[in-house]
Amino acid sequence: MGTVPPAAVAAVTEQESLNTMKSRSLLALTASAMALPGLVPAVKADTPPTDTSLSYRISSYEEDDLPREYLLAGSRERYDITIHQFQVVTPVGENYGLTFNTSYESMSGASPWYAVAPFDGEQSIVMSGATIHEERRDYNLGLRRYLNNGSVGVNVGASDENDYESWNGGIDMERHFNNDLTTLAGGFSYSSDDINPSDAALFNRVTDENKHTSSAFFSVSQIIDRNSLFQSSLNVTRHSGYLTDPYKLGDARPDSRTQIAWSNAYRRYLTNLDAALHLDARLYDDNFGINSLTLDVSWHQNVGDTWQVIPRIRYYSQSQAGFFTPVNDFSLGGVFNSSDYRLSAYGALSGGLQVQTTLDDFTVSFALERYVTDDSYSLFGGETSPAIVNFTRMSLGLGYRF
Amino acid sequence: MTISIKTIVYIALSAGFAMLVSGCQPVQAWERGVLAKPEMAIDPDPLETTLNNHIYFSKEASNGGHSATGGGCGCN
Amino acid sequence: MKTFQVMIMSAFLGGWLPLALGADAGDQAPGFDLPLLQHDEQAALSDYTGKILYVDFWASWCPPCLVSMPIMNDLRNKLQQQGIDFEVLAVNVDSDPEDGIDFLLDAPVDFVVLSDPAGGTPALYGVKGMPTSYLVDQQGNIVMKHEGFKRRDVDMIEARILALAGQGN
Repeated sequence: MGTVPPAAVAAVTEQESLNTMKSRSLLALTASAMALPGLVPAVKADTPPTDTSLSYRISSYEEDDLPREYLLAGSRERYDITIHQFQVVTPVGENYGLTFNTSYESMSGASPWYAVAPFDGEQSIVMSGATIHEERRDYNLGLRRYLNNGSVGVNVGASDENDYESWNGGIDMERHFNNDLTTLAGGFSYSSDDINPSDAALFNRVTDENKHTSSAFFSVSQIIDRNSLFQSSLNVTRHSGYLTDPYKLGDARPDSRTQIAWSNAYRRYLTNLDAALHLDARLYDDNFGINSLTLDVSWHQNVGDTWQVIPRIRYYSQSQAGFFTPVNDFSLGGVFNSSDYRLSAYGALSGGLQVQTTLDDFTVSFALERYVTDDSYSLFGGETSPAIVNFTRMSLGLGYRF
Repeated sequence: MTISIKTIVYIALSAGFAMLVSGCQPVQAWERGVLAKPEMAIDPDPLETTLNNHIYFSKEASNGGHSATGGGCGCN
Repeated sequence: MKTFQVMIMSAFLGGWLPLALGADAGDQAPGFDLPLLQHDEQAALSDYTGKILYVDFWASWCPPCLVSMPIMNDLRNKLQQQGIDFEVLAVNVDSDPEDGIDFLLDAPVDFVVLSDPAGGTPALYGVKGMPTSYLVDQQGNIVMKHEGFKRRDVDMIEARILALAGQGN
């Protein structure tokens, strides 16, 4: 195991006084959310919209501080993010629907820079210093053509933050069969991202890197009876280019990554209770060596004619990447390694509650979620990073149709 | 083309399977009211889903999920 | 594999078989006798023989159905004012008729609205999608079956009705 380069420790002190260190934004080194078909807000695709709807949501996301016992240097405070989302869905002529989405995030906070075990083998995290305010914007425009037996959609999008720019596009289609009881759908999307890390000269980082992502999905939906339906989807994604995190010292990752996710959804309405049960399960595998299981259960309870209360539980468990090292080994040279907690083995349990109400053409919703990670929640063996994160999220949403 | 016993058996079994999968009788067009309820959509709240995916995506190693809509009212 | 293809084809057939029955252009419009949605009365198809009829199956959960209601109401009133013997018989198939009534409270119509929550009448007509409407001539024959509804469809429907009125007795 290598020793901590003294220059790095000195730099932490320097950056704290300079206060110029910028931490990774929420979508660090990952394909733009909009590029992946699963992340474009789905618009009900049976018939074109018959009226225009506007939706707005403001969310506050706060991560718990890094526990004191794991901090070696830097700031304990992790991310605080405010996210604004806005969506318009409107008919165009008789056969088309247009969807526009935009979001704005502003964030502050510190992130793990590297991990060491300086004392008795206990891992310690060196965090970045507190950051200045960072911003991210994204945009996506989609057009959908509705036909007798299905629909076709195209979408284009872009995202922008001071060190990361992305553009993306996609196409998808769905077709109904069997008197509309069965629906087959598929799509493809592509994104190209340019990465220009901040303070590159100061911290000897790369400049002007690129990565691109291709993703394809196929899904089957089946109506089982008048109260229930089922959907199964397969999603394959391939990333290539610069996949390393330039803000993590010593981080070195392969330049290609292939991922596959298999999701299943079940929806059932219970007439006597006037509520719908949602069950979702996803299995994931990739060539970094990570497997994961996600289980999501939510209960959509109608209260009277205008209220809905939705409690939700989510369980997530992942295994570690083959090249994950809990402590950075700076002697490894060009070998792949990363101490990024997101590549370690851990489990997460989150609980949430959403309440919404409708008044004439307006909808108001409020949501609260608490997400907690722990290595004991994990199904898979492996090593957990002490930097795994807990967070609390609150959202307020408004909708209007006309 | 002559139809063999084997083909007839397959057709019968498959029709039975189709009916089993669609509940003893297929759901007719005018019986889709419950399936059209917003709470029965695969994704009843797209902004919430996008936000969640965005957050989990950046905190976890996995990505990929539901990508299509289905069920609904079957309206033409 | 041929066997596999046969299985898939017949699996779909299993879904279509019950709807092989039904009514289409050229058939006699199947009779029905249903309660009105908003009043305590009955109405039968046979009460309207001699009129040009638009039998329309709709539900409160079907967006194109809701778009068609005020448009067909305007057309019906306009044609009646021109002296054409035309009526709309809209059969609501909401399993809870209250949902249909609630919609009409916000957007009332002048034509005849019937209630069939059990769905016997759409089954009789072989309805495959919502909405489906049938234009019936003065002799009780179906001249057109129309699935779905787009705003511009009203022009085509009006033209067919005027053609029937021109040939009418």
